[in-house]
This record gives sequence, C-alpha cells and structure tokens, in this order.
Amino acid sequence: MTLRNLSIWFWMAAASLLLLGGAGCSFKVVRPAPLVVGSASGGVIRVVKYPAYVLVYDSDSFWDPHQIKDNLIGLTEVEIVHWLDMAIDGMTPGPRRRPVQNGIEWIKNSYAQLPDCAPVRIVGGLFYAVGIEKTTLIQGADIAYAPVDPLSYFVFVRVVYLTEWVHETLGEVNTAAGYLAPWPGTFIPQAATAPVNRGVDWTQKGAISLYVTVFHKVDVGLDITIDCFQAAYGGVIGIFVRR
Amino acid sequence: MTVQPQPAPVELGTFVVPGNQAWISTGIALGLKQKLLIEEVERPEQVLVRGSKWQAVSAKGTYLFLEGGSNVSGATNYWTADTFGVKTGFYPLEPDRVHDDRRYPGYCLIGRIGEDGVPFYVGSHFQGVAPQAGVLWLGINDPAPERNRGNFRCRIALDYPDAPEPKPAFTEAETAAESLENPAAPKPAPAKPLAQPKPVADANVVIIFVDGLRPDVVTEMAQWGHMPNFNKLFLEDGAWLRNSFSVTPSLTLTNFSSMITGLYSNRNGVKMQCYYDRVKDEYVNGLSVRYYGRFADDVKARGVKTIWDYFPDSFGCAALPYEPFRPDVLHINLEEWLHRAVNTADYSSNIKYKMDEVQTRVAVDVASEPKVKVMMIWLPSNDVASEQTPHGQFGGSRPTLARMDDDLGQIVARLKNRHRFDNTYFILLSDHGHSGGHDIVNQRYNVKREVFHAWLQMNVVDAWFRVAPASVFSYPGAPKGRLGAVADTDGAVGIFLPLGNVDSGDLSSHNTYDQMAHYGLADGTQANAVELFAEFSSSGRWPLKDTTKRPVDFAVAKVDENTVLLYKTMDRQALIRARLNPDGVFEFKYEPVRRYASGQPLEPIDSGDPLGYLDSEAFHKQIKNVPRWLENYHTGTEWLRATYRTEYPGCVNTLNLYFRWDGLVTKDSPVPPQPDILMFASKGWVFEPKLNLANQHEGTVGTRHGMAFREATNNSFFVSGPGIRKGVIIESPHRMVDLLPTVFQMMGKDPTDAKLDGSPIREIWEGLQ
Repeated sequence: MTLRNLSIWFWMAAASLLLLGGAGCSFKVVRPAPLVVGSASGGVIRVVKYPAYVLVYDSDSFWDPHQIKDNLIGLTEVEIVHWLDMAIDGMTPGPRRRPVQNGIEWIKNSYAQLPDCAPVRIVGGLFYAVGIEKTTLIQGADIAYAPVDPLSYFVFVRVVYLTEWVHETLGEVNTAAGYLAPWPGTFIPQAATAPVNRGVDWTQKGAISLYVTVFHKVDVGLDITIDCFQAAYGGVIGIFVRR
Repeated sequence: MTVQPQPAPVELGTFVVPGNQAWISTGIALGLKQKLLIEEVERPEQVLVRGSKWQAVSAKGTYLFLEGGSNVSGATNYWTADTFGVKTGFYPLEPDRVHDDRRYPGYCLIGRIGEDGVPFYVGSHFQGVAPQAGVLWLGINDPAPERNRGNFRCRIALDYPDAPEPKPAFTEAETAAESLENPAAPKPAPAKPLAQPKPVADANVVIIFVDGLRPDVVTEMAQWGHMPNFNKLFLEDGAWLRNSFSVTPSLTLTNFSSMITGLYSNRNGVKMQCYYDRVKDEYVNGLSVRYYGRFADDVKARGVKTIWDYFPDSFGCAALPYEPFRPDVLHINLEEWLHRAVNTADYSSNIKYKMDEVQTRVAVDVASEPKVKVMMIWLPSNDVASEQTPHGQFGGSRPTLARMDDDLGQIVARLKNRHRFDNTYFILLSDHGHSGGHDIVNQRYNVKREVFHAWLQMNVVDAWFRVAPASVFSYPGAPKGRLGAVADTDGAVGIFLPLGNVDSGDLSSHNTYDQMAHYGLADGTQANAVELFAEFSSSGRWPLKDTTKRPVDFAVAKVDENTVLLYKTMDRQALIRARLNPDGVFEFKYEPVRRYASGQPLEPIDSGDPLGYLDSEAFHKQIKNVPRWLENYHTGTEWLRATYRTEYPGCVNTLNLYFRWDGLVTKDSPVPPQPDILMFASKGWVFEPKLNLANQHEGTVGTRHGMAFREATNNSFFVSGPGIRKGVIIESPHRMVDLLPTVFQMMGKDPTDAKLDGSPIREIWEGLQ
C-alpha cells in the first residue's frame, strides 16, 4: 500500500468517525411547558401538552460536528506566519502584536511608497501572485516532504493570480513597446488587445467563481450529511424519551 | 465615626482624585441647580487599573481592557470588565447592571452631590446643574479600586457660559410640505437648473456598513471620547444625516438590498431574510451559510442591478450579507476572505465571534488594492452583541462599538499610507436602528405557540426550530400536512398560511384578503386570520382599550393589487392605496378606517390610526391641513417629508410596496415570495420563542429591529470627504435607497439612467445646501 493510499484511508476513517461519533456527541431533552388556551373572560378552552423534544444540534458548541468540520477545513488555511506570530505573542507579555505579519505589512507599505512605474508594478504583482507569506502549514509540510515535486507548490488561486500577473506583464511590455513604435498608443493596438483582455478577465474570474462555488457546495453537502446523521440520532433518542 | 479624606486643590480650582479610593470629597458646597463644570486637565495623570501598565485609563474611563498575560487565546485580547477578578461587587454608576452590560465606561471619573447622592457620569468633561444641594464628591467607577495606582486631575468651576439659543428649525422638508398643502402659500419661484456637486477626480468611495448602529449611541460615545476616529472623520470633518430611515421591515437583508440596488422591495424582490419559497416548497433561511449566495442569484435572475454590477471592475468588499461568488476585482474574492478570516480569528469556529476584526483585516487588503474604487465593508458584530445583551447599545454592545472605532482607524490609516485618503469619500451607515435597551428590556413573544398552535392548531416551520428528526414545531395530534410557515423573528414576521383553510396543504400562492377574513379552521369553523394574529394570544383577545401591553404593534395584509390594510385593532385600521402618476412615479393615499370588510362601505376614523399620524403633533405641525392631505395621493418622498418627525417615519410607501412586485417575471424568476400577513412587534417585544429550539442555549433576547417605529428604523448615515460639508447636522429626511445614487454622484456617474428609487443627497455638498 502506498503512502498516498494510506492517507486516503486515514481521512476516510476520520470522516466516518466524525460523523458517527460527532453526530451523537451530545443531546438535550427539552420539555416545553403545556400551552393553556383560554378566553379573554378567563376560561380555559383546552390545554395542549407537548412531547419531549430531542435537541442534537448546538450551533455554539465547539464540539458540534458542524463546527468540527469547519475547523478541520480551516486548518488547511492556517499560515506558517500565523503560527509563528502565535508562538511569539504567547511568549511575550502585553497586547498581541503579531510581529511577523506586521513586519510583512510594513514591507508592503514601504514598497507601496515607491514611484508607480512598470518595473515596480511588475515586481509587486509577482510577489502578490506568489504570496509566499500566505503559505499554509499543510502546504509547507508538502514542500518539505517533496521539495522537487511541482505539485507541492500548487495552489489553485495562486495559479490564477500568476496567469493574471503574466497577462498584466505582457500589457506593460506592450505599453512600453508602444513608445518605440512609430504609431501612437500601444505596440499592439487596443482594438486588438481589448477583446483578448476581456476574455482573459472573464476566464480568470470564472475560475475563481467556480472554485468558490465548488467549495461552497461541498461544504453545504457535508453539513447536510451531518444533519442527516444528527436527525437519525435524534430519532433514536426520541424513541426513549417521548414516553 | 470615619474621617473622610478631603484633598486640597493642587492649584486654584484643580483637584487630584486618587484612583485607589472609591470617593473623595472636594469640599465644594453646591446649591440646588447651581452650575457645575468639571474638566479633566490637559496631560492628565493616568490611573493604572490594578496597577497594570496595560490598563491605563484617563477620566473618560474605558470600555476596553487589554489583556496583560498570555496572548494565545483571543485575537484582539480585549477583555471585559471582569478581567481582573472583579466579578463580584458592582460598579457605582450602575449597581443594578451585570458587568458586561453597562452603558457607562469602567474606571471613569464620577461624581455625586452629598455623601449619599446618586452617582453621575463625569468622564473628561461634565457640564450641568447640580441635581441637589450639598458637597461635591468625586470618585472612580470601579467596584474594587484599592489596587489601582495614579490619579485623575480635574478642574472644577461653578459657572460656565451658556450656549447660544439654537436657531429655530426650518428645514427644506418643512418648506416643501407647507407649500404642498397650503393653497395660500406664494407660488414657488421658477425652477432654476440645479447646481451639481463637483466630486474630486479619480475618487474612491468607502462604505462602512455597521450593522444596527444607532446614531444616538455612536454620537454619545463620540462625545464621551470613546470614538476618536469616528469623531474626527465624521462629526468634525463630515456631515450627519440625522433623519435617515430604513425601509420596512427594518431587517438586515431587506435594507442591504435597498442599499445596494437603490430600489424598494417591489423592484428588488427581497422581502424578508427568511421565507417560505412557495414555488420550490422549501424554507429558505437567508442568514445561514447554506443559502449564502442565494439572494444574490435571485436578485440577478430578476434583472436587478446592484452596486457590484454598476462598478464591474472596481467594486471590492469583505464578506457581505449576501454577494455573488464571482469577484469584480480578481484578488478580492471569498477564498481570500476565508484565508484571512481563519488567520485572524485563529480557527473557523471563532470567526463569528471576531467578524469585525476579520472584516477589518480584509478591508485593509481591499484598501491596498488600487483597482478597487468603490469599497464596502460590513461590520456585523454590533448587531450580534446588541442582540445578546439586555441593554444592547445602552449596555454590552459598547465595547464592540469602541473596537469598531479602532477598525475604522485602521482602514483610514491604510488609505493614508497608500496616498488614497485625500480623494476618498467615506460613508458610515447602518441598515437599521435597534429597539430597546435604554428604558426597557425586551420580552419574547412566540407567535407559533400563541396563535398557530393555540388558534389554528397547525404545525409550523420557521428559522428557530431545529429538532431532530423533523424541523417543524408540531402541534400535538395535528395531521402532518397541516403546515404553516413563519419568516424571520426579531421585530417583524411574515406569516405564510395554506390557501383557504388550515388543511388545504397548499402553500403555493398567497391568500386573498377575503380568504383570510373567512379562513377555515381545523374544526370547520371560520375566523379572520388577520384578526387572530393581530389581536389574539393563547389567553384570548388582548384588552381592546390598552394597546400598550400588546406584543403585536400591527399587522399588514394585501387587500387588492394596489391596496394593503394596516390592522392594529378592529377599530384602528388604515388602508394604504397606491397608484402611478403620469410621470410613472408611485403615489400613496392613507385612509384611516375601522372594521374594514371587503365590499362594505368604509368607516373613516379621525383618531387612533395604526401609525398614529392623526394624533401626532409632529404630523399636524408638518402638514397644516391634515384632512386635505389625507384626501390626496402623495409620493413616497412627500410622505417621508410629512412623517419624518413622527413615530412612524416614511412607512406609508414602503408598507404598500412590500406587497407589490413590479419587476421581471420569467420562468427562472417567478414573483418573489411574500407572506400572507406581515406583523410588526410593539415597543418592548420581540417575536422570538422563549424556548429556543434551534440550539441548546437560552440567551437573553437583547435589543432587536425589524419593527416599523422610529427607534428601529432611524439608521446611522454619516458622510465625509473632499467637498463634503464639515461639522454639520442635516435635518432633511432621507432613506436607504438614497445611498447608491449618492455613491454614483461621488464617483462622477449620472444616476439618472439607472432609474433608481432613491436620489442623490445634495445637502451634503459644500455650496449646495
């Protein structure tokens, strides 16, 4: 069995245990007070007695399966920089300072003070697209495990941003080359580049949109699955408490 | 006998108040109603609460406490009042309040007259008259001051110059209303072409949308010195539109929709936050993650353009109440938002508790992106905090607001750093106000138990009930198919009833008023459903004479295509009729009646109408000839001008438009779902079950919104930027739909072609008032 297969089996087992165990991690039986239906004159028309209800959902609990699922997904987003900041802040008294992140922001702010010209934009754009400071713990581990495997560096949105950087850099080159050409404007006329630019923009935004949509659908799908487990669990408990 | 300490003035009129003593006598004797001025002196000595250098406060006190120890938990490290082990004891200013629900800041300078006088807030500046005769005492608002270090230093004077008399109010609205209804008024001068504002070139617009922010609260906190960034940007360097109002119901999604479309709900289709989708036979909770994006898709399918459509390559935002998944600016997208959110809140579960901090972190990124010209940042934490503490923004929400000011400062600082501040317009607005907390603490009213179960014996689906295995609050013994639905809670609920009778099982279309007036019950008899919901609880009909104790303010139901009925009691009703004038603008007529019945002659009333206009002094002052006014139709703007000083400002048009759909109808975009009955809560009441079966917590109900009256509909609206008037309060009334056209104007775009319901606000511009 390869390491990859082992990893898949591990995640599947973890997910199953989460659904089976988490769905029934807690419940609460609620017995609503009877409803007395009366008339304005003070008479009682009827009394409605409610059965006991089983609550197996607690949106505020850290241990609710929905929350556990969200936190597991969230773990994939945690930056190395954030963990470094947490460690440093944990060791120093006083308010939280986030020294590494603030240091990066300081560099970005300082860079933004440079004159707005093509080389500055191109270099800045590249750093933004690569987003080294946003490297997550999981991605960092991947890179450490297989530093020569290009897939270790793959992040969907970063790839999209890199295509945008290439696109914008070509635009800068086209503008610069326009100064050398005998005709006014850009080297390749805007009439020709505009539809291409629109197409590239549309595709890039569409790619991000697709990514977010799929992410959301999967997330909602997992929530519905957890709901089903909780409903089944509540139904079973209900058999015992309704009497 | 104890000897009370009495300090000598350090110089004439200047006293030192030690921070480690509850009270100290100044030795200054005051007469009843004698003028008194107490001011913290420049460069104040500071008090270190519990001796901690992280807890230094001046006389204004603080709503925030920085954590002094480990920093691993909690992103902002702000602690509340019990940080230093003072959970026991009480704050002298508000001894009856719990620690996390206080209006006044902790550790501020306080005063009292006489040894047993009632403490009052001094802060860094107090000017007023002595409520009683006696010796002035000063102290610190601290339940356990013994371990504090340092002192306050303040100047005391027994006189101060009186403020000049305010100019008599004479607003644009008054002028307009008077000329409308006074035949003897001089004819208006021929209209000159209006001067147009000259917005700065290459402008940016930053819209800070603070959920549920009450304007009176934010200005009070600014006056006390706890909102320095807000104070500088908007009160000193900007304009306050004091009479700005939300649309009804004053709920977040309905108002957010009007904000971003510039349209009322008859043209954007967003009627409620939750609704029963009659076509898809599904309960939609627009506040849940599951339906995130649904409202944006619906609005788009209706052919309605929003702010992200009007600025297609230059709109950027942090997360909004709803938004499309497709970004306008590539880097500003929801994946980036999630990444920032997790790394700001530490873990996903914590995001909802740190939303303002998360949103601000994203806002700083957005402000750094030069492609973004129009930016919208939603700060929702105030609304959540208000709903979770009994006194809301007059209590536990204040630390959240103080932090919001810090968030505002971060956004401004980033824009300054990126050299964008000077050509940026700032708009700070809220979607609605909040009801309760100041003089009353809200109570819950469960319309499902009290009416659906008690009188209709129906099962109900709603946003709060989530009990396995079914998500329906069942009436014991009722057939499964006998199902109704309730949309939303807070201060407005929509009632969805099956067609004709409780057992029809047909929720696919709404009932006519006739059907509701003769609604079939489970036992085969009939009742007026509107009357049941408006006038009955499980104890029977509410007393007719005293309507102040009723949970339901009034109910609204559609009578015909152009008319709705407002039902407060059987004798206090009103019809609101709509028609289009020759210019294609809606006009509305308000007819107070009693005992309305279809096909029967109307019985007009001259007092006690549901919106209280007939008995309102403000309305009579605004509209000199009320009978004549009521005989005629008037536009929504005219109604707003006529009613903006009443308890129900500008409700007439929005209540009618709520039940209309004047937009596109296609196979993919059917008529937006609307309830059969829309109900509004009275002051002091909230439509929420006492037994919250959505989760396992029974939190306090807090302050809420959704209601139709002023407290819930008066929203914050502050503007600042190049060419905007500075330090002014604008009295003429406006509303939510005016935001988008105003943004158009700031961005140098003409809003006319967009055919919006709102208009650009001219009075904010220098030289155009």
